[in-house]
Amino acid sequence: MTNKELRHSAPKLASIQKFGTGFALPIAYFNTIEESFFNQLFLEDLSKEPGYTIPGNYFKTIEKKLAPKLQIEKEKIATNNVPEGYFERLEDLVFERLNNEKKPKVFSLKKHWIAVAVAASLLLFIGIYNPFTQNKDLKITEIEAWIDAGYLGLNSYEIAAVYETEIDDLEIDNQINTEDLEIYLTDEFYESIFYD
Amino acid sequence: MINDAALVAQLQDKRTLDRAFRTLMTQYKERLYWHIRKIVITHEDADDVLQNTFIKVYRNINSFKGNSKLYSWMYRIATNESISLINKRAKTQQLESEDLQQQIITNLQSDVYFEGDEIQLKLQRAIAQLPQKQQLVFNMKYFDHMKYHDISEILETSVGGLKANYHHAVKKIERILTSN
Repeated sequence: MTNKELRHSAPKLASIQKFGTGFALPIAYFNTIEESFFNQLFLEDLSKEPGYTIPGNYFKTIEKKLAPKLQIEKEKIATNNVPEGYFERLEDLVFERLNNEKKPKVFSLKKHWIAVAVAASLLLFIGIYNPFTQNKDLKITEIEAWIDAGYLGLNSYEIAAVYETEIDDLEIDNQINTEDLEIYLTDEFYESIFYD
Repeated sequence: MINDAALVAQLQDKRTLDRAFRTLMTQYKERLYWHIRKIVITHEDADDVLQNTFIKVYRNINSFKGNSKLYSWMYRIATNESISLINKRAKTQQLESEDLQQQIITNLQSDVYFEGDEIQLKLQRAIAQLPQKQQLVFNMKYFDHMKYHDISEILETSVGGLKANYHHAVKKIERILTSN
């Protein structure tokens, strides 16, 4: 559309064309644009660049340099919690202990020959005479009574020899007070009156 | 005035970049400013967009291959930056860009950097009612008397399309100006 065409098709618009937009500017605005631009460029670069440099291959070597330090830190952490590889070895440790506990304790026959002899004779006797066939619930008191009756056939010295401790070394627990002793003796006295 | 090819060569050489860039700014600052100003309307926005445009040109001068004229390339950057500012602001204010433009025109009456009279204000209001492409074409043709061929290179639109756009824009604005 030429000016002539514009005048023909839009006479009002053509008539105001010479007035322009009406926009104005600050005085000497265009004189300061270059300086403003380079200042802004400088500020942009300033905000992007930290202002210091790093060695050329710094980021390529950082992992290698850091690895030993990281290992030390890792070990420290492991020490603070559980030893390194603890959980990997845990099953083996547990089974090792379990196996040890299953092994029967070795009982030395040489060391305890007298006790063995007592037990063997006791078992032999029980096997032959079988005094408890009528009563399967063998009680401690009955065994005591059987021993008291003299069936065991061992004297005091033989029994004492079972124990390695010397008689003199035995510590007697002398915790019986006088009152208890008096009660005991009184009871013994009355019992002897009643039963004797 | 240094020709574009020589200027581009200096701009793409780091040793001569800053000096050549000052030359470039001196040559194009006013044309680019007025192109931007007619899109964003206020001086403050035009100033921001002009600086952003030059910074983009400075940062990307090495990617300029010379397939178009240097000024076409810069105009294209300036146009995109201007439209981008309008759209961003409209989004921020949750407005359509046409509504935002009308709001800007309304504020123009109290703008210290607007010296137009009633008819010029009415003209700006009429332009703001056009579709964006028509606004661009109208401004470049009616105010700047640019050739269709140059506008075509900047807006990457056919000359025929531009002529049609301008024709529609003129008709519509004339109608608005002559109405009550």
